[in-house]
Order: sequence, then structure tokens, then C-alpha cells
Amino acid sequence: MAIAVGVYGSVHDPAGQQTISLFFSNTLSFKAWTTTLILFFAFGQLYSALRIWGKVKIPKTMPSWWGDLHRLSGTLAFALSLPVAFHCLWALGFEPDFTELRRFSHSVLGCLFYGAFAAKVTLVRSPETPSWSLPVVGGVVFTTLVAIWLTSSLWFFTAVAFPGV
Amino acid sequence: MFERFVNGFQVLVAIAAVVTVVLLLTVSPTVAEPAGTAVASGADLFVSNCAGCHGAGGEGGAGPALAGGLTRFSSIEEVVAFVSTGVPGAMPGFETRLGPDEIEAVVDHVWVELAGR
Repeated sequence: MAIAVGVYGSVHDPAGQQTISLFFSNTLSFKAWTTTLILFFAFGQLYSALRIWGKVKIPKTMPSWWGDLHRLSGTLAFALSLPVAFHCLWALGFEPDFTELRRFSHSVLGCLFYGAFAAKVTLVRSPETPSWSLPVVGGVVFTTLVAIWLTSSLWFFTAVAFPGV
Repeated sequence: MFERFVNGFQVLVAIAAVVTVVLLLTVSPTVAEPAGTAVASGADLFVSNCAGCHGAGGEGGAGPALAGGLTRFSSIEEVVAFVSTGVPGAMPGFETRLGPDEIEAVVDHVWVELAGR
């Protein structure tokens, strides 16, 4: 999955146009704030996963719907990532020049995120998944997402505009 | 009940993911009116072709800021040539998307209105 995303971003001729912006003034503002919302759901994923694995004790008794809440936060994060990734891939493409450190690392991280996400979805539905694998892959997804936010939204808020709506 | 809601939502998101992939593979950039017809204003062309990377007001974004910038270019003709051919891996060339008049119009807008040259 990661390779497929990277290949598309490399061979596709970047459109260089705006796509969706909703009620924001432009697509970049929309992407910066949507990625921030995705990060919020990612932290929800992290905390709910820590409770599922017993690493935190609040709530003391885990509700029956806790697992579904975990799935919902992950699904929301993934759903919100789609229009963001669409603009990244369709309008901007993959940055192959590693001297452009922010854009290059953001491109690689974006590919890694979808690869790790696909691996997690596959593992969670596989009956013979080793118990250690889900926290590891989930950790990779979360870490990648944080790094994506740092190389995009944080950069936008500090170098371009804040709140920049 | 909640589980069924989440299951249904996941199905919808899976469909959205497939639609996104289809759009990535099929949607072409908006092409401006062909040569011979009225040329859109430089400002309009900038919004539809440049603002996605350089910001609505040329303040920068995925691409560098244009407002108050363009100091690397000594003439507007250099900018026209740059925009026409682009830079591999960094900026698409627009000679296949816009006509010569349109490139001149949008560069004129950037040069005068945004960069203040």
C-alpha cells in the first residue's frame, strides 16, 4: 500500500490546483485543520487502545462499547484523511528531492501512514495475529500520524498563517 | 446498536476510500479555455491554478511565498518561462494546461499585484 501510494505520487503529473476547502479560505487551511482533527482522533485511538490493553485504568470498568469507540475514532481519522491525501497526491505529488527535507519527509510519512494503516486493518481481522503485533503496528500508525502533523499542520501554523482559516 | 452504527460507518468509509482512489485515477486538472476565446483574468487563473500551493494571497503554502517575493527573477519574461516549463518534482509546468496568453495574464498578476515588482 505504501509503495502504491508513493508510486502514484511520483508518476502522476501534479495538478497544482485547489480541491476541497469547505468553509476555509483555501485547501491548505482546510488540510491543516483537518489534519489537526485527525490528530485529535489519533490520541483518542491511543488512549482507548491503552485502556483495552490495561495500560491505563480509567475508566475503572471498561464499558462494553469501548472497543466500538476505538474503532469509531480510527475510522473517523481515516475518513478525514481521504480528502487531505487526495489533495497531497493529486495536486502536489511526491517530493523526491531529499534536500527539501520537510516536503520529502512528509511525502515518505504519508506513504508510510497508509501502509501501516492497511497492515493494522489486516492484522486486526486476522485470527492468527501475534498479540504483540497490534500494539506495534498501532504505534507505528500513531507515530507516523504525529510526524505527518508536525511536517504539515504545525509548519503551516508557524510558517504560513495561524489560524489561517 | 452502537456496534451496528460503527459497522455501517466503516462500510461507508470503505466506499469513500474506493471513490477517492477512482477520483485519483480519473480526475484531470481543470483546463482553462482554449486559445482564441476570451482569456480569464490573471487573478481568476491564479486562484484556479496557483493558489493551491502558493496560497490564496500568494502567502505561500506547499510552494514558496510569492507576495513580496520573486526576487530570484530579474524580469517578467523569466517568470513566464519558469511557469511554462516548471521544475520536475517541485512545480508542474503550465504550458500544457494554459495558453500563452493565460500564462502571461497570471504571471502579470503575480508580478504586479502579489510581488509588487
